[in-house]
Amino acid sequence: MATSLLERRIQIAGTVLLLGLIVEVFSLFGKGALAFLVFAGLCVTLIVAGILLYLHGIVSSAQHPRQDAER
Amino acid sequence: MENPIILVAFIGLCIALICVFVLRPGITATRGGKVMVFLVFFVLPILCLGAGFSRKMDQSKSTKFCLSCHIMEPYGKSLQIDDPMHLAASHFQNHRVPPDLACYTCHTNYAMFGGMKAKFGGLRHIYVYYLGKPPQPAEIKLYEPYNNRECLHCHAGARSFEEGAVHTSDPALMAAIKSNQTSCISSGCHQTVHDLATLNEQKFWKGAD
Repeated sequence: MATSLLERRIQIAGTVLLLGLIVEVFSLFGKGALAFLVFAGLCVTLIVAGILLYLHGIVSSAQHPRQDAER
Repeated sequence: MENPIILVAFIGLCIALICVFVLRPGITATRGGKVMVFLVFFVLPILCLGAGFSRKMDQSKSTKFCLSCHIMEPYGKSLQIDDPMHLAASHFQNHRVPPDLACYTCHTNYAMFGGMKAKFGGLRHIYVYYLGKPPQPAEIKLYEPYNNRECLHCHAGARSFEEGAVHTSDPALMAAIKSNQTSCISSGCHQTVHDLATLNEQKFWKGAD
């Protein structure tokens, strides 16, 4: 089944968000400075990147709705 | 969210919902699906991140967190010195500071945005520890001279401080302490704080049962 460009971007954003949330779960169980570093460095970056990818996906599909529908 | 289990369950729910959209992206074709995907991909992750950030910020105030860096171990050990003349040890052992927040209570900054300044200082510590050249424990210095404001945050107004024999012996002394002109930890007063040089010669308190 073919997926539209928006759906593909949602899948990519979702995968990045999933990675970020999984890292967050692991970092929450650590109480040391390393766990804080993993949270602040990796988890925040992945979740923010996932949200931005999702927003970019919906904005760009709104700008090019025809191209998106043709796919 | 104090309990990490609740937060983990919330993140788990968020993960499950994201999985639904990743595996079946066609749901987003409907209006309801678009609203749901916005909630799941934007609102929920921000809530998870905010709750996690709040929890991590709370954890970063803990004594255990500060002592998790290897070079801080001697400072942690100095809290157990069995000598009331050692300022940090007597505060820690007599619960003049909360034992779980011992480092943060004395080393935060009680001025406006002081908490934030302390956090940035902590980030700098972590950066130096993992990515820079950490100094030897005995060579660690405060970024700024210790300000009496941090002591007075608790001691100002306390009878033991305001009516203390030494503090009131010279009328000018109290004003000098309160204006930070005479340091509480200057020589002759409470100068022994974390005495790492004599750590190996000290007796240690084993802690309450």
